[in-house]
This record gives sequence, structure tokens and C-alpha cells, in this order.
Amino acid sequence: MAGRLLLVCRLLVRDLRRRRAETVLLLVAITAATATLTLGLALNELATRPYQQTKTATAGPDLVVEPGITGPEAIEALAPLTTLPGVTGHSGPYPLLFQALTAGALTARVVVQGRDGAPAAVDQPAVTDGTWVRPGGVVVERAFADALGVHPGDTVSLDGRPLRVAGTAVSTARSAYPHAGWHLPGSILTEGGGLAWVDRADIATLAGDQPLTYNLNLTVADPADSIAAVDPSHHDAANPRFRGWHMRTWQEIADSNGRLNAPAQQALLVGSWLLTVLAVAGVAGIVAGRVIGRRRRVGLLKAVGAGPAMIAAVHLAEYLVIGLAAAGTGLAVGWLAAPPLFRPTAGLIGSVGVQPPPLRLVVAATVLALVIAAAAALGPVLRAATTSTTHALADAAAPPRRRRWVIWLSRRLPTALLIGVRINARRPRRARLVMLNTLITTAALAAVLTNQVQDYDPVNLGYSDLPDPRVGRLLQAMLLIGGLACLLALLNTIVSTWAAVLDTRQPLAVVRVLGATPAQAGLGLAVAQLLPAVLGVAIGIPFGIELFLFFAGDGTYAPAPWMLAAGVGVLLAVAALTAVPAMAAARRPVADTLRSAPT
Amino acid sequence: MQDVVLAMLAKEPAHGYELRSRMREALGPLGETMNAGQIYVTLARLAKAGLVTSERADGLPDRPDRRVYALTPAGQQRVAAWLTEVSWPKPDLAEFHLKLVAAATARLADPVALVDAQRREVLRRMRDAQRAALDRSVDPVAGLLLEGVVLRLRADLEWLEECERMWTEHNRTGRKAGTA
Amino acid sequence: MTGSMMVRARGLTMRYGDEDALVRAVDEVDLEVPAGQALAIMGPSGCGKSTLLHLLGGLQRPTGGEVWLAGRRIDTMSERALARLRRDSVGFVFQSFHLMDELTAVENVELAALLAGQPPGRARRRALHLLDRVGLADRATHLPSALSGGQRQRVAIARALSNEPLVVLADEPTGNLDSAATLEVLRLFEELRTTEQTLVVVTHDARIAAVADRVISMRDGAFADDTHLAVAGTGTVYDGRR
Repeated sequence: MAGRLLLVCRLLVRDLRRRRAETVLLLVAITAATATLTLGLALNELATRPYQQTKTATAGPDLVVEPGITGPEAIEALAPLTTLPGVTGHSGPYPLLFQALTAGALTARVVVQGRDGAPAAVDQPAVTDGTWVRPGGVVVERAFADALGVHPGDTVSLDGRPLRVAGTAVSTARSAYPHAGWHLPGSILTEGGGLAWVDRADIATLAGDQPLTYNLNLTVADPADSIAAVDPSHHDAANPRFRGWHMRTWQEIADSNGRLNAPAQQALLVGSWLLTVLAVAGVAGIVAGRVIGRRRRVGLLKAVGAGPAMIAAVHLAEYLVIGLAAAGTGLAVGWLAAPPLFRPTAGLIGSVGVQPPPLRLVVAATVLALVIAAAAALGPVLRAATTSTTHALADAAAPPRRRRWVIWLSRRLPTALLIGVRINARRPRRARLVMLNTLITTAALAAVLTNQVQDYDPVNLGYSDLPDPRVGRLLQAMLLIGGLACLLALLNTIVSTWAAVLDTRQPLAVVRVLGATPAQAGLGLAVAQLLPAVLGVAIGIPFGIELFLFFAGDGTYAPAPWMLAAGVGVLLAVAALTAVPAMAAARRPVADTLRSAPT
Repeated sequence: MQDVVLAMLAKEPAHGYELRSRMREALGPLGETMNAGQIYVTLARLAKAGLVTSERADGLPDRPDRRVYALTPAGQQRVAAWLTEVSWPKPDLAEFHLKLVAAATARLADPVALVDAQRREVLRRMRDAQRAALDRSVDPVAGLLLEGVVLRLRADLEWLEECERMWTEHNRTGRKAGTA
Repeated sequence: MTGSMMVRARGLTMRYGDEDALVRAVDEVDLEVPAGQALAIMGPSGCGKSTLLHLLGGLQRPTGGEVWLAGRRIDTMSERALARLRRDSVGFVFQSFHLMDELTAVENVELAALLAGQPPGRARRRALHLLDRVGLADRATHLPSALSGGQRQRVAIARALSNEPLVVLADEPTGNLDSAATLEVLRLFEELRTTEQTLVVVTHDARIAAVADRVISMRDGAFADDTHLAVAGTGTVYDGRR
């Protein structure tokens, strides 16, 4: 048993070393599939993690209480809450002002909170740029700052009073921009706005006529049900004591933050599935195409006396090794690439990559990689183990498909088209893969373009129109998916063309001997790849549009010329990627490519 | 030749001319070159050895081709033994080989030139035999014989090519060494 | 003066490699093949006869020398012009047949005519006629996998004859065939010879050479012997190599 195992291992290593190029190619393809799946799942993780991380980093509250009354009565009403049995910690009450912040040409509603320079026990916002509050200065919440385009050192004005921006910070005490919970003092209706902190001492000057509202940050013993600690009846609306009060649990705040990402997340989820399909198609292309010559190796193994069991063992072991390696690499790439590719909302900090991925993610990625590897292995292994040794040694490719109607139809076509159509018909599987490739790429591009023409309402911040941050994130997500799709498609097309050039070497040489010019032969090969691509583009455009509109609800259609341009662009790319190697191969003298016996 | 004639009489006695025509038929085009009298000489020898009896046919002149020949028991035995024999005719290349050696040693001629000339002749023979074999009017059994001739000649040609190679090499080294 | 020379080569050379590892596959070969002659080129493995054939047919470009085919100089022709030449004037037969596996016999043969621009109906008729000529009329709709080696080669020969070539070039046509199949092909070549088709066959099988009008022996890229079989005693021995 041990001897057998050792033999398998030795054969495996030698085999992998001999076939470096193909091993690497397969590794890259399966890694791509695993990485895209991991990316999709990781980006999902990004939605929940950053909130938790920020909460831990800033000692965020489990419950934020804001009474409906203003002034000193509010402080009195808040005082007993700090000593309730379920409450483990508190900070505040801090004064709040609801004003308007002007930065340059933009004006927006802002919730201003007065803070001390000293660190608080609960909710100490983490400074991301510049410094914390100081007299005469204002610290702007980071997402808000990004939207307005302010940096530390700039001057902004609060209700007309100029202040210097001391820094930017993040906090989990209030929902991130633009849902900071702006309301008129005493009112329960909240509207959109940003968050900023000033020194407590400045509050009096800044307030002007506005009565001061206060808020209290609490941490509770049972975070799962934080309201119960303060209000056992659980319903601040029913309890007359808390009528008009704003109580926000950390879950609500987290959800609110999460909702910012919702469209982007959805796009990423759907997109990552599409990308995984694309990557799997790429693997199928490598295995199906004769880029890897499987049979001959099996023949050699058989010739030296290995039985079918041993052969299957060696091959499966090979693919297992590649699968596991790809799983590891893909996991690492996907997990580490997620944060830089897609920063969580600016209102939260996220350093997801430093932490190891969760177990279910690892399992999912590994399972995918192994399944792909096994599927890639099984087909040829089964076929190889049952071929006769002589057949396997001859390394004959699977015979090309015969399509009578294609052959009959193509007789009337000019030479290049005749060659192209017939070459295409020989390998239906490759044609299908090319079609799938262009379909998904075009669908991604169509979705991106459709997204561009959607009329998204700007977020209502009372004064200036600022773009909805969800839109920005959605665009980022779609561009990411589109970019990755193009990259994977590029890889797939190169592999597909490589396989096509290898596979058609002989028939193209024969056709050239019979009198086709190199241009006709090269064009024929290009046409053969383009035909399924045209079909893919034709299906991909409506598919992409409908996919986007299905998830986005109703929307406007992008103008047809854009879609046509996208489709033509994809076709041109395929044509270029195919035509260049095809022409290069066709230009060589025929005798070099013709496999006649040497004499 | 003797055994062949005996075998042809194994089934039943036959006239001389019958035997001759049967043989020519079996040999096909090669049979045309066969000497007419050869078979009668063989028959006479066989009769002397006691393997066949020859009788004069009634009403026919007493000529070898008109006589009726039949096998004796001794002849039958000989036929049976011949049929089971597996000896194969030896190719006789010794004469030509010695010709080349003699030419080289005695400096009578360039052995390579001799080989070339011989090759050409063998090639021509092969062409004639091959063309005859391809002729569709030849019956398959006779065609088989021609095939055999062609294949033998092909083997001979291969040997002649080897000869040429070796003797060319021999010439070259001889020239280098300054001796023959 | 090309006169009625169908194929002509002068100083034809094919060299591979560089200074240190120079290989002369074909070394300064002069050749003249008049129209209607059947020429066989024989030689041991690696002597360059296949390369010579490729050079004569425009499948490869020589590193030196000149080649004329039907009076036209082909070693300086562009690949495009060579393709047209192969289409109209040259028919090739290869050792490994090089038939399309997914096309039936008649579809394989008509391909040559289709590539030459013939209308499909005419191409099909011509293909059937040629298959009949090589004795495979009943196998016209068979795929190559359903044909024996000899039959496949005969289909290849029919394809080579499709565009009425001026010269048929055959590279080891019986290399992959057994004895019986060789005979089939031999018969076909003999028939072609009698129809005055210019034929150049590269072979190591002396039987094929024997049905030719003229046999040239090749060694180390050069001619060693040139025999005209029709007339006894005629033959040239090339002394260059001795």
C-alpha cells in the first residue's frame, strides 16, 4: 500500500513537472473561478464586518436615546436611565444641534454633536484624518466629508458661522451619511443629513436660537434586546414616558448602514455568479481543447504496466493537487482583493483582509475548486481508461463532428466563409464555450450601460443636490464586475484561440495545399470563432439588460446605438484576438505545418 | 521440375501435351519463357528412375508429347514426401558478391559501377514483372507468382543498395589510406 | 530554355541551421522533368527526397537555387500566388492521406474544386466522375473512417486530380499501406502514367519506382543515380559525391 502510494506520488510529481504550462494554465483557470466566488462571498461579508469592527474600535453604543424634549428637562429625563440595571455603560448626554453646513458651493443638513476633548467610555469616534474636536474646529463624519469634498484644514460654515475642519472621524452612534437622523428639535420626523462634531464649548455660540437636544449613548448587558434594558415594555411609542423619543438600537443603525450597500451587494452577488460561470467555462475550454494532451500519457502509463485503477488514481491525484492549490490561491486572492476593490462605506472602517476568512467561505471555495477539478478530470480519465493502449498512444483527438447541413450549405459560400463555417461545425463544444464567453461579457457590459442611463434621484439633504451614495457604490460594483468579466473573457478567448489554432493546424494545412491562400485560411479561422461570438453578443445584450432591470425594478433602456457599440466592441476584440494568431499561423510555409513523415 | 511433374500426375495419368499446357497455365506469363522440350526431358528421366510409367496411346504417333504418363507407387510416395517438405529455395547471391570482391581485389573494375549497372538491370526486370502483375487480364493464381517475383527482386534491390553503400565507403577509405 | 519541361530545378538547395550545425537537406540539385514523364525518386530515410518534393511543389521556399513549374518561376512567388498555383496546376498526394475526417469521400474530392471557385453542382459531378475513375464509385458517401488505407489513398489521388493538374506530386504514397493496398495504388499510378500525366513520386518502395519511366536515387541531399527504365543501358551516375 505504501509502495503504491509512493509510486502514485512520484508519477504525479513527474507528470506535473513535465507539463508545466498546462498545469499552470489549469491552475490559473480554477483559481479564477474560486477567486470570483470568494470575492462575491467576501464582499457580502464586507457588509456586516465593518460595522462590527467600527463598533468595537469606537466602543459603539448598543442603544442611542434622544428625548423628544429639549433643554435641561431632557438632561433630567435622561439621568435615571444611566443607573438602570440592564445598562452597563454610558456616555453623554451630549448636546445636539440641527443645522445646515455649507462647504464651498454645497449646503446640506447636518446634525452637530458637542463633544469633549477627553475620550468617552461609549462612542468615542475614531479619527481617520486630522485631529479630534478642539475649540473653533469641527470634525466631520468621513462619508459626509467625502460627499462634500472637505478635508482637514478647509473652512466650512455652520448656519453661517465659519469653522475650520479639524479632521474626519467615523462613529456607529448614528447611521452613516446620509441618514444621520436630522430633525427639527422636538419633532419625530427625521430627514436626511450628515454628522459633525464640535467642541462642547462652542455649542452655545453655534446654537443661536435653537433649543438644545440631547442624546445618551448606552451599552447594555443584553445587546440582543437593548431597548428592553431601558423600556421593558419594548415599545417607546406605547409607553407614554418615552413618547416622542428617538431610540435607535445598534441593529437598526447597522441595518441602515447595510442598506446603503444593498444595490451594490446585489449586483456583486449576481455578478460573481456570472463570473464563476465564466471561469468554469474557461476551465472547460482548457480541458476540452487539446491544449492538454491527456490520452498519450495514459497510453504510456498503460504501456509500462499500470492498470486502470492506478491510472485513475494518478490522474485524480493530479487534479486533486491542482484543485487544492487553486482553492488556496483563489481563496487568498479573492479574500485579499475584496477590500481594496470595494471599500466599505466611507462611514465605517474595514480591514477585512487581515482577518482569516470564515469557515463556510473556505469550505465553499474549496468545494467549488475540487468539484471543478474533479469534473475536469473525470471525463478524460474515463475515456482514457477505456481506450485501447494503441489508440491512447496515438493520441488521436476525438473525431470532429459531422454536420451534413452545414457542409451542404457551405458549398456555396466564398472560400474564407466556407472554411470558417466548416471549422466551426467541427467542434460544437468549443463553439458553445465561445458563445457563453461573449454572452456573459456582453451581458455585463449591457448591464453597466443600462445602469449608466438610469435616472437616480439625488439624495435630499434639504439644500444642494448631492448624489445618492448608493448609486456611487452600485456603479463601483458594476464597473468591478464588468472589468473582471472582461479580464476573464480575455483569458478565455486567448485559451480558446490557442486551442482552435492547435486543433485546426492540420485541416488548414490541407486546405492550403489544395489552394487556399494564407489570408483565406486565417480569415476562415477568425470567422469560425466569430460566428458563435455573434450569437453570444446577440443573446447577451438583451439578457444583460433584462437581468439588470429584473433586479433594479423598472428603468429606462439605454439607447440602442450604445448597445450596438458595446456588441461591436466585443466582436472586434474577439476578432482581433483570433485574427492575429490565425494570420500568423497561416503565413508560415505549408510544409512546416503539414505533418508528413520525415524523409 | 521433377517433383512438380510428378505432382501433376498424382490425380490421374495424362498426356504429355496436357502436362505442358497445365504447367504453362499455372505459370502465366512466366510460363511463356519456359522451354518446350524441358518437360519431356524431365519425364524421360523420371521414367528411367522408375517413378513414372509411359505408355504409348492408342491411335497416336509415338512422340513424347502424345504418350500417356502415369505414376508408379514409388512415384506416389515421392509426391507425398515432396508435399510435406518445407525446404525453401536458397537465394544465390554468392556469385555476384564474389564478382565484386574479385573486381576490387584485382582492380579489374570499380565495384560500385558494377553494382549500379546490376541495379539498373534488376530494376528493369522488376518493372517488367510488376507491369505484368498489374495487368488485369492475368488470372489471380498466376498473378501471385508474379507478385512473388517482384517481391524477391525488391529484396535483391535492397541488398544491392547496401552493396553500393558499403563499396562506396570501401573506396573512400581505400583512397584515404592510399592503398586499394 | 524551358521548352516542354514541366518541372525544372537548378542549383536547388535547402539548408537548415547555422554555422555549427548546418544541415543540407537538399544540396545543389539540378532536375528537368519533361511533360508526361513519370519520375520516381528513391533514397534512404533522411536523404531529403520529401524536402525536394515540397520545394518542387511550392510548399516550402528553398534557401538557394531556382524552381520552374510549367514555365513559371516559383521560388520567388508570394504565398498567395503559390496557393493559386497549387490550386490550378499541382496535385498533391501524401503518405498520411490528409483527408478531412468529417467529410465523405465525394465531399473530400469536391473540396478542391470548391476552393477553385467551381459551382457546387459541377464540383460534385466532377468528384463523382473521379471517384469512378479510381474505382470507388460505390464508396462515395463513406467517411474516411469507413474506408481502408488503400481506398483512402485513392480518394486522395482523386482529390489531387480534381483540378486537372499539370503535375501530380506524391510523397511516399504507399508508406502507410499494406501490400494489397499498395497494389491498388500502384495500378492507379500505372494508369496515370499511361495517360501521360506528369508524375513525380517520392518513395522508398522499389515497386513504385519500377512502374515509373525514370528512377533517380538520392543520397544526402543530392542525386546519386538517374536511370531511364524504358531504354536498357541508359543511366547517369552522378560523380559529385564519390
